[in-house]
Amino acid sequence: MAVAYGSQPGRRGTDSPREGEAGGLYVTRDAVPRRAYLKPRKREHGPFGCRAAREKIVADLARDLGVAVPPVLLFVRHDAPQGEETSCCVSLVLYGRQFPWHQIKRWVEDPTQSERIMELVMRDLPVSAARALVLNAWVMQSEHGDHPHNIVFGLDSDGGPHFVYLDYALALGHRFVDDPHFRALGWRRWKDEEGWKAPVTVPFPPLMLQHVSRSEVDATLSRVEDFPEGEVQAVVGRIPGDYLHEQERDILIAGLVGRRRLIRAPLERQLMGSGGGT
Amino acid sequence: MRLRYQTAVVSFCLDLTDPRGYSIPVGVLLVGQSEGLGVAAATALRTDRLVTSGFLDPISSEIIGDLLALLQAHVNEAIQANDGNVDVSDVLLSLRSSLRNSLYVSSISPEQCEEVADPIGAQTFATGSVLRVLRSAIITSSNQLRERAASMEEDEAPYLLEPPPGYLPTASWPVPPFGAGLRDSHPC
Repeated sequence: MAVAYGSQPGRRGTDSPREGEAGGLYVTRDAVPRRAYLKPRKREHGPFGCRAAREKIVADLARDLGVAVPPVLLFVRHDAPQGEETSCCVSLVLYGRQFPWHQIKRWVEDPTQSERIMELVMRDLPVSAARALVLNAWVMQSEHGDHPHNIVFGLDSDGGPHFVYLDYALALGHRFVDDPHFRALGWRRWKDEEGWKAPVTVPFPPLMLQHVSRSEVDATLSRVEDFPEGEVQAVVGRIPGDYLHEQERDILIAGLVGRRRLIRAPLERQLMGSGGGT
Repeated sequence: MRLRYQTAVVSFCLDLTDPRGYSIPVGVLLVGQSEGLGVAAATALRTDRLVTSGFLDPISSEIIGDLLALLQAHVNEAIQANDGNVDVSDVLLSLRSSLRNSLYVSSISPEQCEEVADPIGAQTFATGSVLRVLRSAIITSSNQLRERAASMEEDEAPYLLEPPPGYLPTASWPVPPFGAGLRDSHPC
């Protein structure tokens, strides 16, 4: 598979390894008339990282739940520079114009800046954010606080508005949550004494929380609670062994199946505590 | 005094999904430092003409229209957040990390040096430089688009850019001295 690399959307070429935590870059392929984002670049040692597998698993679950996470394909980067990750994935760029949440939220904070733009932004926010919030609780997504980049707002070719939720490389109880900040909040790695049972509150932009559709939260929660165990096993089980260690696969299946019915109460408390939801 | 500086060109990608899609340069940021002196300057394209022509949607236009303020805020925050312990390149690379969607950093220049008389001279030089770099980027982009247009179907022909006089609002501002404790290893 011939792929051209470039960190920037407008050109191909080399780049500097200074992007996000896992490192990523835009890629194209001559046979496919679309751009995608490849990650991770940074290699993670040991069997319990599996960032590309986490991205793929969550993207597939999201599709089944109707959450706006771009489709992900696993991709072996045979020509990776020495020391960089070879077990990668590519995430499709969905919309022609995309802007990070930090550039968009001002129209939600202060609708008087432009009621026309505020109306466009708010057209998609309540439902898409409700669905993403529930997915995030299910997969224990740690990366959607007021993070400036991991939620983007896109415009399709007809100008239709769509929020997109990105970066699940550290979800599903990744060791990243050993960070003292998360440990203090009760987060645990899923592999540690069934850490997936931890009833944590997942970070989410407070401004979005204020506007999530409560009825959509409820409907999405029901879809998660009824999500077939066999489908979880299929989604996780089809990840190749060089992307997902066998022991980790069992942990992820146990966590996803077990958490289906553990997230409603913490989520409802979170919404009540934030005064959010409409 | 010798001013060490770098510039970053900010571009706007018209279709992020399309590998053949093209970008237009919309702004330039310069960050420089000298002994006890920090300086920054930025310029950004006015977008009203592009909106009128239907080339830009309202959100893209607003975001590009705020680019000057965004660049100012980025520089000030990047320096303050690190208590001044950053180098010129750190400020520009962090800008590249923060802009990676439709609005993105399309190039960062190598470090360059310029002799300036005093802080006012540094700001004057910085202002002139960002204007020069953006005009040059726009001309280069226009030429590339013209070359591509010749081989395109009529309905694909891109909007050809022209360097627009009066369409480059500019700001320059002093920033607190930064880079304290860093060894100057540049050969110039």
